[in-house]
Amino acid sequence: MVRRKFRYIIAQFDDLCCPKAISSQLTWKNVKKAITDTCENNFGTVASALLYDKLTVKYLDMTSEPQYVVLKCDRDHTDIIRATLTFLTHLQGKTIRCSLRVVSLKGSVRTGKLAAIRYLRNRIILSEKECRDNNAANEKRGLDISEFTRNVNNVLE
Amino acid sequence: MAKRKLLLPTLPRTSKKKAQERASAGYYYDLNVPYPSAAGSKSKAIVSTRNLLRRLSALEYNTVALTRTIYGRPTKSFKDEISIDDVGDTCGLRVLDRLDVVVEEVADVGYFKSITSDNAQILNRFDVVALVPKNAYSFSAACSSANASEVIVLDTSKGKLPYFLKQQDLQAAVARGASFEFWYGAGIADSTKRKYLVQAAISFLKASAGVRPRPNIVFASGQCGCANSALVLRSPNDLVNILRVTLGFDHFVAHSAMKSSARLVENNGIDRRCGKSNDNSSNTGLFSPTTERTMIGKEKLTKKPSITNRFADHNDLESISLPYSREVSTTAKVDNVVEEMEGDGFINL
Repeated sequence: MVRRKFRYIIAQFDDLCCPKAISSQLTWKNVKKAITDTCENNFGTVASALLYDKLTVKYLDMTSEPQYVVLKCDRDHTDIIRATLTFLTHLQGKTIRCSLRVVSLKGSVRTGKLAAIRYLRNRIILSEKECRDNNAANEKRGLDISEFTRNVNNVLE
Repeated sequence: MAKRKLLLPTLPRTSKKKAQERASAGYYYDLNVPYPSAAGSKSKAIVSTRNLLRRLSALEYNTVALTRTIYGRPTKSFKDEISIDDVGDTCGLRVLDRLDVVVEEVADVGYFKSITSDNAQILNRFDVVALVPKNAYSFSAACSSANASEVIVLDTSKGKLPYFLKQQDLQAAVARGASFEFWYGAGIADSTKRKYLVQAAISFLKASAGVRPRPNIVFASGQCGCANSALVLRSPNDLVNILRVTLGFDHFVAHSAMKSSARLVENNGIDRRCGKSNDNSSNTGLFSPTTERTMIGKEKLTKKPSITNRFADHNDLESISLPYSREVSTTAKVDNVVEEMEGDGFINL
């Protein structure tokens, strides 16, 4: 029996040029549509058709800062999807300007979860460092890791 | 008849794990980050430069070259708007000074033929000097004779490449130690410019098919043509993927485009400022197949020297040449070069 191989991509929104009220209402459908449209513009209809079933948005967090998304795709199409994420510049047509960066690329659910937890931990450490450096009374916008792991367990399994 | 093994100089062995760690701890360059346009206000330009540098350090770059663009040959009354000293905090990045010269006439390219008393004062202020040719004549002149510049830019940010790339020009550029540069900023921002970038890369690959040693390629953000240039910046790992998948470059070339190739450009700039020539004709090319073939051929025809003597000159680490391009500059730290070559998996001795 030949096993199907997947890749889990964690991508971070580096610049989302819109108010938080609008960005928090974006759903996985907006993100998936943006990716498939960008793929069609750059790699053609055949490539976007290949992604139609294979690409799924496993987790999307638009409330924290910076926002991030977890995608699942076939191993064979990882390069095309990664290139598409690099070329992606707008969401919701041309209304919201954004840029995506691939933070990690993992081959299984287990390693994907570990990578996501490590990513969040680093973000919390960085945000703590920023707060300390700036001497500001900002609220911590990082996530509670235990809550995140519960969500990830529900979503990825 | 027993096969004779080529004795190559031995390098210190490291474990695979250490080599992988070194490879993953990349030292990334962005060799073209234009100074934001001041539009009359110096303080705004400084603030936008600081934002750019902050964004680049968040994207895991280590060295950045802030670029100033001029048209034609630089004059002695060339004045700076803002400089690195005005910017101040560089967010932990190494910041280099770069000059881009847009050349249309062959006479302007002649200004960069060598470092003389006329141009030394201006050119030696910059760590990297690049030429942006706008037609076929200036391109072939830049490839063959502009020894005072390190980089030749294939600019697709404003339109298609206005000239065809020829193998003779690329060979001449490689012989004098020049590197070629592509800008991805405009390609990210606009789909038409993206098409031009892909066309330029494909024509470059076809023209450089027979060129030996292979040309040095650098990938940088460059001018994007939009107001906020921070939005087109991308992380180095994503750009490596773009180089491989979309532009069709080799795996090794893609990985080194923002690391060792860019470092080579910096070393060439150091040599220019120290007064050393960029001539690549003395490249020993230890790893070049052509050189190996000629050495084996010579061994058959002439009286054979002893094997240990043949490599006596190369037992010294400093004389090892980098793959694809010129010899190691004596100003470069040998340890760092050896680490990079091992980390990229190129040496498995």
